[in-house]
Amino acid sequence: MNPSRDKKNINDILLIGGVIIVVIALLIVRNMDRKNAAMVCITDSEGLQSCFSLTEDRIFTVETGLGTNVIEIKDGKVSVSDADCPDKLCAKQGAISKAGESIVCLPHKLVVRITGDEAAESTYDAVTY
Amino acid sequence: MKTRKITFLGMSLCLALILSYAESLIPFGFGIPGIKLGLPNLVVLVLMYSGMSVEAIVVSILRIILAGFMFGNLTSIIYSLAGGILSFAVMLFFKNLDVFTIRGVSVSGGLAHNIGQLIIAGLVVSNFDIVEFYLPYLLISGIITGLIIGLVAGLVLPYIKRSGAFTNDSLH
Repeated sequence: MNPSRDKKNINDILLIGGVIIVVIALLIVRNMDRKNAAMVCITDSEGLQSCFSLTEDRIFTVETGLGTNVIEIKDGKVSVSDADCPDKLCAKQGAISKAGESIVCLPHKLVVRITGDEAAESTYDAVTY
Repeated sequence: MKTRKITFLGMSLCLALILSYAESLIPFGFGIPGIKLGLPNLVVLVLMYSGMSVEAIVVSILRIILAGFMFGNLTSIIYSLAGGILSFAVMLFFKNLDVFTIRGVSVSGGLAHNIGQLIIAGLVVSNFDIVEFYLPYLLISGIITGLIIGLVAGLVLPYIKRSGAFTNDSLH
């Protein structure tokens, strides 16, 4: 068996192309896993907790005796788009998208937290090698 | 073994060691640990394609141990040995199968090297999540570095063969 030079060159390209396809498949599978795992849970001052999927866009208002917060889920990110608290720090914080991140509105005792599966939720500040 | 061959293999080992040092000076990792250019593999490829496969693996193993003592540590020796031996086995297999050019053989070696290191890394920390995490990056880097080394080896080899000085016949 002694394939010609051209055939070998084609085999080279097939090898490289094949591995690149495997890599793309791995990355796609991983991203799907991550999206499925992400949920956003909101706890208000009365201790009520409600969870929503990050993949569905929606806007809703959380109203308690202390005040109201408008929570917006869009493009896999969640933010507090409006609030009637005095400092509005929760609205200024912007959007969060990673498991373990949270937005807190102290005056309204409201916590918006993204949960994921244990492995995806990073418990480290930083990792060094 | 002729003196000439001993000298030639000694020089090959020196060249591989210098390339080990040279690649430690070239920042190529893009911040991902474990990614290296694999310059010493050039020596292994050239030896292998000069009909000296046994000599190639001996030079490779000695290079890894010596470079490990000089620039690395025991851990880096274990990682490099796993990668070096696996990549050598895969390259020899594909070279003898005769389906790829020297570039394809080099790419297969680069991929095997990274997979071998990753398996050891997974065993060391007994956590195969990191294998899943790093695999795509290490496969891509294996292709790029393997292709670079294969291209260079393919360019160098005709000159070495034409010189006639380092062919196996003149060394035995």
